[in-house]
Amino acid sequence: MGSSVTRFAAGLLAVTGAALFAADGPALAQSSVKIGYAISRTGPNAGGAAVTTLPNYEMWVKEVNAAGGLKLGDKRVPIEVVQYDDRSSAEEAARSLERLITQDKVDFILPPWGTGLNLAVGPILNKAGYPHLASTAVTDRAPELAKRWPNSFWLLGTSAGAANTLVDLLVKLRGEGKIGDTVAMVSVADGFGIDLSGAARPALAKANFKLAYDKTYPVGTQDLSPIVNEVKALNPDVFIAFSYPPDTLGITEQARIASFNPKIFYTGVGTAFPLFKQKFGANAQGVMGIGGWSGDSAPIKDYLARHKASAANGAEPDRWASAVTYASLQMLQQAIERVGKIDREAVIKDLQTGTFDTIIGKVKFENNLPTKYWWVGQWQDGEFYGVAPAANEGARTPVIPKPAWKAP
Amino acid sequence: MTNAIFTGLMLGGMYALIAMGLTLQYGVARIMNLSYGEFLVAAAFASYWLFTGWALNPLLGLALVIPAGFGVSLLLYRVLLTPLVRRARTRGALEVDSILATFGMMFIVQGIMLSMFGGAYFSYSFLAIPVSLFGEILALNRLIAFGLAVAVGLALYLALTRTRLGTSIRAVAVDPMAAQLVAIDVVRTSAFAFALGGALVAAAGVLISMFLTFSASSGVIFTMKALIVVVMGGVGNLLGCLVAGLALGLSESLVATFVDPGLTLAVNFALFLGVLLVKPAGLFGRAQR
Amino acid sequence: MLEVANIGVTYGQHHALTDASLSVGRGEIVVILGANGAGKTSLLKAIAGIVACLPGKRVTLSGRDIAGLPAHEIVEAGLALVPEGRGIFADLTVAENLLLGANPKRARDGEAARRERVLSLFPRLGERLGQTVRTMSGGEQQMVAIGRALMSNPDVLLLDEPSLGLSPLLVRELFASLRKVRESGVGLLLVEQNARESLAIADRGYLIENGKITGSGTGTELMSNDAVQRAYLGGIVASAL
Repeated sequence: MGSSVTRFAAGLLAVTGAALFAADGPALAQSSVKIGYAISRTGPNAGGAAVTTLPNYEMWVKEVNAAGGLKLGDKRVPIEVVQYDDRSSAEEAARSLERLITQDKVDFILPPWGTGLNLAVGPILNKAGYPHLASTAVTDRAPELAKRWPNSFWLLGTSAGAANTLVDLLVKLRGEGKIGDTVAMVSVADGFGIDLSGAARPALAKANFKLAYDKTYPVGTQDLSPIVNEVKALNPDVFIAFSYPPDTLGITEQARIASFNPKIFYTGVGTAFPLFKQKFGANAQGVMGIGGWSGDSAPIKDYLARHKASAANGAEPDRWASAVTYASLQMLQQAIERVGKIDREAVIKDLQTGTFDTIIGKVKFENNLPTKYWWVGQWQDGEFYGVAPAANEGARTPVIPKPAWKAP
Repeated sequence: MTNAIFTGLMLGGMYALIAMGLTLQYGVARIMNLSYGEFLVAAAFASYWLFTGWALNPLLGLALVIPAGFGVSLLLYRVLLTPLVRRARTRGALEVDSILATFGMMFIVQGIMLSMFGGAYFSYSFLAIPVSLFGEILALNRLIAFGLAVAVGLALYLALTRTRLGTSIRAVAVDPMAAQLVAIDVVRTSAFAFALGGALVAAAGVLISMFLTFSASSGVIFTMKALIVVVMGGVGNLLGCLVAGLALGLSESLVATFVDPGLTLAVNFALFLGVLLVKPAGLFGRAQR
Repeated sequence: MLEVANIGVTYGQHHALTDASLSVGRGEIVVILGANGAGKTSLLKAIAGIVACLPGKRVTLSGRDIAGLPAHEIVEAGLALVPEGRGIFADLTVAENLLLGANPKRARDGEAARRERVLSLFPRLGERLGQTVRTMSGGEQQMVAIGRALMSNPDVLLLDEPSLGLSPLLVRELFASLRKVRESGVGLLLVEQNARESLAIADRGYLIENGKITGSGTGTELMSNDAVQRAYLGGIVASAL
């Protein structure tokens, strides 16, 4: 009970935008490493940040401090956190970061959640010379941005990568005779949906798929059954929804109710959320979605267990950007420790050139971008495994066709 | 076609359900409650908590959540809003004051939910089973929510028009000055109407949680939707709520099915603006003199 | 029955009413005459508890102290006000207005009989029970207002310029109805500019000027009073009486 009261107080503080941990003047002889972040505790991004980003930041800080802190040279220095609520607004995120840099004088900054906010704070972090490990941003501009801002690293890749990998998988499955030609695609009329459908459309056309249905819907649409019903009438082999979490759940639910069961059923952000499994149980089986991880690897299994022990209410991580986010923190830590002091320029240099041992395997950036991504995952027996690119270590063979929906 | 109409009716019923509490709070008590959506989400969380933690059927959960919604709203009115009511010289001044007060309230309720449940999305499955109606397949939970929305709307409409208490609530909505002349305690009746609105929004939250994904931050969407329905139907008019909600739902579903799902928002707003151009006080509203 | 003493009202710096005292007996019709802005309306509103009064006043109804009670409790105590502009619920129907009139607890017993009486007093209301009041004529709206007030089973009925805006024929009808109301034992306190018609039915009257009561007398006394003659009756009627 005591903890829920303090958490209540903390929540109140966070929503009023106040700093949780007051800074007590510049540290003498580096008694702590100050790490700051502005994260969406309120507003439309809060749902994503609460699942993917915050639990990892908190767990990492807890783990590092439990071990005595970051290893700088021959001594360990604990992490001190300064955090703000960016209220899901780019202006507020920018303001908070300016404050972290100029007033709180933090040593390192962890990025906000989501593509939009990472793009918004990019120039600020670049100008101030802070490393920027964007682990929750999917953007086609990633290669260009990595070049323009050498301090920035884009760990989640490009929407073209996501769409092309999906289409490659479809081509392969068609070649194996497992699916036919017809594809129905819906997308949310917002950043993610526009980018992904924009990349998938030409790729599908080029691969000679028949796009029987291709529509968008506004963010926050509360009833998607007209879409599902219409798509069902077209009887496609493949259904693709580039959707946001509430829509992902809504579309899946409606498909189950309407017994719309194409050979491939793919949904967007949220498919990899633990909530998806929680809500659909055995019915998640065979559903594909963006993301995925090597669910059989020992480090991932260990990470999952630690995350459950650390997060509030025993929450599980999502099976996509969560692990990447945690891996980005491991990279930051290894770079700082290798440099051995608070030297941001040297840390950026180390991130650009070094090799890192993380829960998602060995990572080495090329032009500030990782070389491997998970783009398509599938729920198989209660775990969301990466299935494509098939060359990735730990890739599972997709279950095709998707089994029929069961009664709940 | 039938399917689009059914879907539209059910969506519209949900909109009406969301808006009915606000029309009482705004129409009778003159409190423009900006934290309305947060109360709806709070009820959704309560239902989620009862369902997942205590395995309590949400429909039975209504029996707990509705009185709680009534009680909390009554307390809120007595503690936070009554001083504003006493201070306000005109109804306009009360509306402005209440907007400021409930804006603050919004953050408090949101903060409480964030600290208790975190910011993540929540969703659970209850009665998400297909039922066949006139050859169309519909989700049972949405069908139940629709049925209850219509039942509650009609029951309240009858209560407000056929009983003395209901008539006195409407009297306060129409003319609070004159209401005192017939021995109506305006502050008490307003508090009652506000609390009744709180009970309604709690019911809406529980029913909606059966099929919508929600998070601590999603309240504002519901406040906006409710406001549109209330203004379109005529402030303080339950029948207007029902008609406006159904009109919005039907137009949304028909457009999504026959034109393009991308245009649903545009059509919603076109309908809203169209109604206000022709009838500035809403479908069932009367122009203020 | 109704005793009012030392009642005063200010709006900011403006003294609308100073030290007014008056009384209304059972079944009595009392009229208050005064020019626009003399403080008549403030007086009625102060008695009915709608506007706040200066301290020191005394208001008793049938011996019970009702000074300082909120408006809705004053109605409950047996004093009904038909305000200027009638104060009816224009968006509601005649039947709903009458139903609301009987809202005080004191009016619940015998509500049906009282309703019969009101409808026999104003037969036109009986024909239009379902009509929205807004759509009715001024005279009919005045009937709704008085009927609604009577439904509250009042001991004393206050009326603020009931004849305002009515044709002479309607005014005569209205005053005839008021006389019938008095016969049932209700005391009537009437603010009027139509001195001729109102004094004709009044038992007593008060003159009010610049927020002060400046004179009083029986209806006939006032009718022949010089000041009243000059101000309200045009000064030519005295000989005719």
